[in-house]
Amino acid sequence: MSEIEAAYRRYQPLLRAKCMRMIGEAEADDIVQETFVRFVRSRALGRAPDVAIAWLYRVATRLAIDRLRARSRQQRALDAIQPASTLDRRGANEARSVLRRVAARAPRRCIEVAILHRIDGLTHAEAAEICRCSERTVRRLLRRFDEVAARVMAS
Amino acid sequence: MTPEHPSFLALDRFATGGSNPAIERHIAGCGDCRAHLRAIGQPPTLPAWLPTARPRPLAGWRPVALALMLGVLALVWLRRPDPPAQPYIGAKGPPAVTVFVKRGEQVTRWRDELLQPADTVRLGLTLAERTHVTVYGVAAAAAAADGARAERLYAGWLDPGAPALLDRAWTIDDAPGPERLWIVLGPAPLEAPQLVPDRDLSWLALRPATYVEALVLPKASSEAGSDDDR
Repeated sequence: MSEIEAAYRRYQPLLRAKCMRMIGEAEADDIVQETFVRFVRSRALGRAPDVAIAWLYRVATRLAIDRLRARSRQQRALDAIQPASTLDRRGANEARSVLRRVAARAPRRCIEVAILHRIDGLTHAEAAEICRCSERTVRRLLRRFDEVAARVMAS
Repeated sequence: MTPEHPSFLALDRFATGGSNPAIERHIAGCGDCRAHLRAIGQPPTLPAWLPTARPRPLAGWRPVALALMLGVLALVWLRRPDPPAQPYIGAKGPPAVTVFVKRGEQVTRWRDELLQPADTVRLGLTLAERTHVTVYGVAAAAAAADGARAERLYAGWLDPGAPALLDRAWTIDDAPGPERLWIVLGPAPLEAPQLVPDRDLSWLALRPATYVEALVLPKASSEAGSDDDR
């Protein structure tokens, strides 16, 4: 079994689960494929699992944001996104609903932090590790996201 | 992290071999988290596109290339020439001879004007490096004769300067005819206390790094004498 096959067997399930949490089953496989191809071409492939998983979380989140924003711009059926059922955390459904509506309005970094914290349930410290920023920045980005979300929901 | 569950990141890391006693305790009593771990523990079917996913051929060389480039830059930086402490100002090219004339209390640079008896003449030399200077002169009365010998009037080393003045001066007499001086500049002293200018100086000028300057300083008395002869 090649190194790439071994990596796929190890990481694909958790990567797919994350993509489903973020964007739903319909587009999860596309993001899994795109993320994994990038992963194979990156230096993260041979790294320790902790590092590799952080890399996968970061890239998959950003690719999902691209999809969310494109979808929002095209006014496609946002409600087609299905919740991730039993794997969901409390409040994640509501967060996903808000996310769909503000995806085109909020800055990308704010959305990235919101996905990691509100949907994947990462702590501020874990989100800071994935985003390569400080916990203070994570808190600031979350506040900014909430401000934008409040305006969008009010309108 | 929610109050009830570890984050998905923590669970995923745990599932890929990470050790975390707190998560072990949590999943022992949490069906949701056990379900997640079971789900991501299922081996996936290898997709058809997987064999086409290949690393970039030179991806591994990037750090090496970067390190090499930085090394070269560091080498260039370290080996760059140090800037001079202050700009160098010096003479360029062959030496130059300047004649200074002192008349009374006034010193002027000689510009082909007629000299007067009792004027004092001093030589200044602009040199690029330490040079040996020999000055030969011939008496005005004898200068017209073929094969007249010139006497050594001065010999010594001079350091570069702008100009370096000889520590010797000559007073113009009232004998008719111009004063004639030959200045020989070279890397070594000249042995000859006398020489025949027309014969010897042309050979001296052929020596490496040797310069010969012939000066003819016309005097007012000689010009007046010429006028009287007419």
